[in-house]
Amino acid sequence: MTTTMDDRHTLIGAYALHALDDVERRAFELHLETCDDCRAELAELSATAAYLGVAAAVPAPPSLRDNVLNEIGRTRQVPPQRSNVRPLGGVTRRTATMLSAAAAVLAAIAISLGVVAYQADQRADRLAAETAQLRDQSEQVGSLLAAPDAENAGAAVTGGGQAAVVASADRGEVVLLAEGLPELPADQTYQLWLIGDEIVSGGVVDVPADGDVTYLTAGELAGVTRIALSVEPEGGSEQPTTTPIFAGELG
Amino acid sequence: MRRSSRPVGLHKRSAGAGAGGGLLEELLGRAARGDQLAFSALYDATASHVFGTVLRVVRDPAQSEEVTQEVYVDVWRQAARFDAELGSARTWILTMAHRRAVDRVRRVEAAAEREQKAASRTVTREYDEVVETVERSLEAERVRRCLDTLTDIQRESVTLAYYNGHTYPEVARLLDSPLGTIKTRMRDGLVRLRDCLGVGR
Repeated sequence: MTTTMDDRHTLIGAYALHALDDVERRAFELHLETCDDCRAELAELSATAAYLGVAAAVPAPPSLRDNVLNEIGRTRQVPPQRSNVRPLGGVTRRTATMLSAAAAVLAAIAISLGVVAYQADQRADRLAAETAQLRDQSEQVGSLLAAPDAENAGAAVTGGGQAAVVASADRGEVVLLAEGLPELPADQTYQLWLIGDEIVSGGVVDVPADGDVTYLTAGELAGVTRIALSVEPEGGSEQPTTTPIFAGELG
Repeated sequence: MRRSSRPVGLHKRSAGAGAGGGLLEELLGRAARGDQLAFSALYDATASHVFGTVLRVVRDPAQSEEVTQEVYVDVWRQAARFDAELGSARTWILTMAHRRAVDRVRRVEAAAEREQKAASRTVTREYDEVVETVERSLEAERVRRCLDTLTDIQRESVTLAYYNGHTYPEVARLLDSPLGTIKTRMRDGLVRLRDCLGVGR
């Protein structure tokens, strides 16, 4: 087939949809190398085509996740293409010296992070660039999980959802990870409680409409034996006024 | 007893992210440096998109799992080659997924067209069961609404190529239209979809 420049450029739609045979694809790629405008347009059309994939989303079988993670564990990565590759955030990679118990919980965090990422991605207006903040938070959570005295407890939440808490008395920190918490009326709120000889508020937990939250708080944890979540009037309470919908036992 | 509390809900981020500076890009960047935890989070955030995309094209659930696994191993291998200047991490991953899915069906069709046809009845039943579980997200709804703004021939050209993995000459035959028309409609259709979805700057 003889193609003029215009013809070739028209192929950009078919190229973005992977609707060219090998020969025409290679010809178009040669054209792309010399055409800056085409590359810019292609980037947009490829992003548009990817939306068609998003619209076809189907939950992947759980076994696939294990297979993929096993496989990457023994797959070598290629080096960056050029030496001038931009730094990727400048984070020191977390060392692999974690205690295995903490590592198991960390896997749960990864899932929770994934859920957060997915939702952020779902809503363009919430997809945001505050990665530095996320990095700090996830490292904070990660290092809490790696604390030698970290304890964790998880359970179903009365009324719907799952929750887990991880606490380190040494660090005086506790993290609540929850998924699928029921949405509350505007005049109610979730509140965390640190329960020992006395009951101390761990703060009001702001849960988005989708019910998934990761909440980190600091507090004196010596003597705390349970960490609980209850529904309280807007603004929170001095002491719990309702039966907790979740309680994690420590120790 | 200290009462200070530092709520740090990970979900709280400001609106209006650029294509390359989001959470998935951060995770992919970490994965590029060998962080398997970040990779698993990236997987969780994108697996339904990838699996759904592949399944639409390949249709056989077992083969779709194989292809999806190949895609993620490739994402892991090539993570350092991702360039945020060229698009988002999600686009990068889904483009690879679609490319591999299309390659798979074309290879299979070329190699064993007859067996494929014989097997297609059972495959279709399994496929129908799996797509029952298609995720209803706001974003997916928006894509469907935008697809409705295309002309019939634009929409059919785009979806027969993307979802069924047909080449544009195949689409032209299926729609009984000239090649040039289909090429143009694929591009017009994507451009209209792009504008409706607000992709780009």
